[in-house]
Amino acid sequence: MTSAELPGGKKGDAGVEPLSVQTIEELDRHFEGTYGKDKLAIVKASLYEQSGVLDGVDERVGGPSLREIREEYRLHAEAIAQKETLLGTVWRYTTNTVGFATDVVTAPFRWTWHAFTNYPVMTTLGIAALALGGTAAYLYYAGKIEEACAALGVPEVGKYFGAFKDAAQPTVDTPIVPGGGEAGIPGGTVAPSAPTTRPL
Amino acid sequence: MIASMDRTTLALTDAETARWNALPAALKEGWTTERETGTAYESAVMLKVRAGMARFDSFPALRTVVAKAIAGEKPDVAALKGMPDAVLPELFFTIGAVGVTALIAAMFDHATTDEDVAALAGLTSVRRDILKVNETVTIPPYDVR
Repeated sequence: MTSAELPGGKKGDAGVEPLSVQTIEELDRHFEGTYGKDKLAIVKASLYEQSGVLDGVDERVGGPSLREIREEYRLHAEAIAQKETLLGTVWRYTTNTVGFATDVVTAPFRWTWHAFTNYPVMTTLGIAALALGGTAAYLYYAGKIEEACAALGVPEVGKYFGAFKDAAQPTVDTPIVPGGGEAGIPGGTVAPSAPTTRPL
Repeated sequence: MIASMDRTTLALTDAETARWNALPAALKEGWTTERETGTAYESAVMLKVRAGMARFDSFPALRTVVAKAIAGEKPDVAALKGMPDAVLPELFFTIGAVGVTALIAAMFDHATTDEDVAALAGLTSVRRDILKVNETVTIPPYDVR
């Protein structure tokens, strides 16, 4: 199987079309433009008030249901919040200007940078991880990551992706298939996380 | 605010602890370990969502190499020489705790110096941060019918 046959490149595979959004404002603009202001309002009210507003609302025939739209929105909103927290707060590092502009990267990043600088396999692995994530290959190749890495031209790193299974079984989101796509992947629901909802 | 894990501590899973124990004593001297208990690893769909959000504006060559890899070309790692360290936070978030765990596994294969162990410690610290955020920064899925 070649990388061209790896799934995930088009909408419908793994059910979610990843959006190039960085903020909730961008996300809202996309959803409003795609589904309309009214549906966006209904989805957000249900999401943040958890009041079951979607009950009894007619779902659009032939298109994604409000539940599906809500789940797509939730996934992206959650990712945005997590990225903001990690990059904007937890991993904020200082920038100093000494003569010419330099970035002072604090530990642990300075230490991890040593790994990427001295071991090309780490960079290869990082690239493979980006590619596997982007093509949703983890979903399809949970037991055969080596095949996916071979398709990416980097069979030598396939063995390393099994390591996470030793730590925890990652949950698999229920696939969202707007408009009835191709993915017929069985999956469970997302295991409830800590009941902390971060208002956005 | 910087991640506050002790800089001489590695947070290891049980499988990684076994690998750590097998390292030479001289290499482990001065380092301590604790058990990584986080379980909030990303789902495959969430990794796909994160990949869509990834911004490598400061190093567009990375996105080019990844796109070529997806197209079936063996990545040209040499093309990424000079990748700025400022890319690392974006990279780590995008590949998630799942990807960082793979990096840790590879680093164990290459750990022969104190700097290598420091890199391992850095990676486990990064993973712990990601797992904590994955666990605590959430929007619960729809449960009510």
